[in-house]
Amino acid sequence: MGADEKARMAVAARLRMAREMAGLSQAQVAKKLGLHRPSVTEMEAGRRSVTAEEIVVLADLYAVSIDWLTRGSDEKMDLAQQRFELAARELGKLKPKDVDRLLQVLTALREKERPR
Amino acid sequence: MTRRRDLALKAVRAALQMRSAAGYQPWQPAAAFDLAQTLGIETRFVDIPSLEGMYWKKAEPVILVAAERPPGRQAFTCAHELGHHAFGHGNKIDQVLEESSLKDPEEYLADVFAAFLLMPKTAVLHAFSVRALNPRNASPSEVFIVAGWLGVGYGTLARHLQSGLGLITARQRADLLKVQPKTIKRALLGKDIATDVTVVDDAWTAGRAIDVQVGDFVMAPSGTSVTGPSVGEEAVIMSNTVFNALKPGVSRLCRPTGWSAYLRVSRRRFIGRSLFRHLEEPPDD
Repeated sequence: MGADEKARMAVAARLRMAREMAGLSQAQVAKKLGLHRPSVTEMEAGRRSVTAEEIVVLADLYAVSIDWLTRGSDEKMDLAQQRFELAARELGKLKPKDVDRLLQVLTALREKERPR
Repeated sequence: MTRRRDLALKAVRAALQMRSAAGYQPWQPAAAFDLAQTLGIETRFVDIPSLEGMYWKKAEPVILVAAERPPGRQAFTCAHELGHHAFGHGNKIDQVLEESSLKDPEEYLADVFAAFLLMPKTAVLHAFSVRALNPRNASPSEVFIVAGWLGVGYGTLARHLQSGLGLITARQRADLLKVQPKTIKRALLGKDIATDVTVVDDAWTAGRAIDVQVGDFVMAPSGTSVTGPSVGEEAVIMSNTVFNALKPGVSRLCRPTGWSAYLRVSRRRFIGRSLFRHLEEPPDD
């Protein structure tokens, strides 16, 4: 698998994860975007390219960060950052596997700081 | 003790302010998830079982609520997180079922805030008086009906009636808590159900949305009709029509008197953005 294809598959996987986290079915997304359902299936399988405009619309629909959707994250760095922002006292309230899940959710929702 | 009292007053004041800023009359019930949406807070149900709720403080704040909880408890958790928001607290991961006395001041503040956002004295007294009831001698099923109208759990209301509002004695509270909601539901419907039932009686305020999950039941006086695809008519019990929530979507209950209210059905244990919880599934294309 080439680097381009790897990146496309990674975006496809995150599109699916973001949709599921938003609580939408493929059919609901298709209706909101005015697409046919198979188009959404194809996007999430990495068999159809996703335009920049679609990425913006989907990120908004799923309420996830565009950076995370397109580039994913430097997992180690982002998780370290989240751990830093959430005091250990807070995370200590959760079961270890739930900590991982929570950090995953927060990473997807996290907008990179932008100068205003 | 004085310190606790000051905190409680601060929390009650903030809760009443948020209610009135959102346009609720003092006697009206407040819907926690609608309120969060009005405030522009991204609210999501998540599949993280050991998390009760979380407030994430940032430019666009986020509230997370555990999907695997009864709706009344989810509403209380959401209201608790709205308390953290109102007081500008930092990032908070919450377990709301800890004993209040053991909690740090910010948690105590958020708990009192949540209780008075959803169950202010004016609304609670209104709920009983409009049904010609008195909290002092209300039966478990009457308390259950009022809890449904307020959108909180039966036990939560029973406890608040005593410790928060002083409307009943500790003895009465204990008597109420001895009765399990499942017993009340059986008495209402004449059968055991694993899901919920909401009693939309004549006193149910027009316009107050009825929020249920697929599989739940709604009992309404005969003559109430439903429009919309998400609900079916199930049975008639003692001059009440029983409706069954079949699939996600928004329907409308109407009465010949002109009364109407939205009946909003979500998936069971919905995971996702609160915004989409009642979204209909489109027909196959």
